[in-house]
Amino acid sequence: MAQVKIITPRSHRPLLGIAELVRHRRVLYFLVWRDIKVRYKQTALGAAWAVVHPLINVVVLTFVFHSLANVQSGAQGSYAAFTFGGVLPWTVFAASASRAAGALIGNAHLLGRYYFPRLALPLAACGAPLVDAMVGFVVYLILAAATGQTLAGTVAVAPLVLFMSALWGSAVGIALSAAVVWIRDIRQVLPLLFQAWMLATPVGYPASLVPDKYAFVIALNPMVGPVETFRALATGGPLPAESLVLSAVALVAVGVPSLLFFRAASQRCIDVI
Amino acid sequence: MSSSSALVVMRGVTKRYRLGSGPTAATALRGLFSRGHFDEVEAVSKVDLELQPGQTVGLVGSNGAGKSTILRLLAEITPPTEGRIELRGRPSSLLDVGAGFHYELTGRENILFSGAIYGMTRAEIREKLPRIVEMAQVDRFLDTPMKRYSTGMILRLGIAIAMHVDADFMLIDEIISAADASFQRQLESRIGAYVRGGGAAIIASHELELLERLCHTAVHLDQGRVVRRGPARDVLDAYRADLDQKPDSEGVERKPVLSK
Repeated sequence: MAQVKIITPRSHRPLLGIAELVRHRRVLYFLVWRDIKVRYKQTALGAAWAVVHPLINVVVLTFVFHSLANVQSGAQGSYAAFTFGGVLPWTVFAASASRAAGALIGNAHLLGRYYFPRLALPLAACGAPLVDAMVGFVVYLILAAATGQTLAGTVAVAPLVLFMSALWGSAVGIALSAAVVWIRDIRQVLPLLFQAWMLATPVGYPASLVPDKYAFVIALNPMVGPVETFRALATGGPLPAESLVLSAVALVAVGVPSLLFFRAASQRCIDVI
Repeated sequence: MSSSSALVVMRGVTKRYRLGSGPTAATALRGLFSRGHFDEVEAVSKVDLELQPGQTVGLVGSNGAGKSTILRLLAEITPPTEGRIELRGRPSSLLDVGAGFHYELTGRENILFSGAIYGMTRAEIREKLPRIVEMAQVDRFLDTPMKRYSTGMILRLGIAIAMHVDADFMLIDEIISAADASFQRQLESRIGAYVRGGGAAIIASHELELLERLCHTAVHLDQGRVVRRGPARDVLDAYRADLDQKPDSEGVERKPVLSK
């Protein structure tokens, strides 16, 4: 006879729910698969949208900071390639976090229909941005080569940074997805927050541009690590060890409470949603 | 009957829902950090229920009696407010059939996706696909986006997938009556065969004749409470008599219970 499952109002739930998620990993895989399948259906450009989005950001940021404000990257190669190196890790983060934030309310029909680990929803929402980023990475290589940017051999491991950005996106997005069920206002705030956050991150300008009195903004911003590390790996600059370690530590410090909050809140979501 | 072999055991299970216009930031904060005063309704109230292998239990009662909530509790879609539920084995749930589909995806893609959520492996789904398609009668539309399907096709496909899950018991919510007559007959015989083959089922329905044919035991619920339980025929006869006595009772508004 199968093992007994006991459900009470305070059922013992595994601490972070990771083991249960591993058991149901097929659900995670199929949610990502469905996301990617559905995403660009019936659009004229199709999957090309995955590249168009970051490219537009690159063009805008390059125009504002370089062409208008005459900011120099201080590195070899074109300013556009420099900006692309920041936009790529940033976009994975922002897209993962905002898509994950809407994952529970966007899939309410699944919540009311099947039992599966709820954590799969916000986590799977980070799959498509990560796939987009891998396509973007190839475009980055082409753009860099075309504009005379020399790439270092370490560029081969740069995608790991994109993976870290996606983890950051999920760490933020998992808690948000449950919070949004009760406080819908968050969804209105998120685009503004991410826009401000991007401008406070050296994505379209070099960190050296930031005057000392605002240095704390850079020091406290956990996305500086991935952005600077991606550029360093791609072009062979010195690794920003300090901000990378800070970002990794902060990732755990944000991710674990995010999972704990989600575990507590997600069970009751369906009654409120 | 000992409860040690039961697939499902519910003991004193209560489910309360909050009433009101839905969450606002202010009520959300109160809800998260305090146990404030809310208008609440007891959808299910101190219910005991057992399901043994080879048994079919029918749930009857007017709208709002708590039938669907019981099935949602057993499907682990929503947690109980009080009480204890024991589950032995895996359920296959036919609740809100069709709600889990993505209408931009084709029938085939939706079968793969639903199957995965039910816990089937890719190989298992591929092996069962021909039988699912045959039962749902959607073979010509298999690679057409689901938004082009008729309501009946969506319903049949949802049911066909759920019927092909290797489950220890089934949870069936008022879906049989929505299908056309020939599919209903097919479904009825399949459920019968499934239960005789060692499965078990809990069926919520307004179709009393159907429950009489399928069920051994029936439970009559009213406003979340068990009014009567026993052999299906007895409970259903009594339920019919109740309905005849107070014909206006169907769908009557429930009184909100102010908690604490």
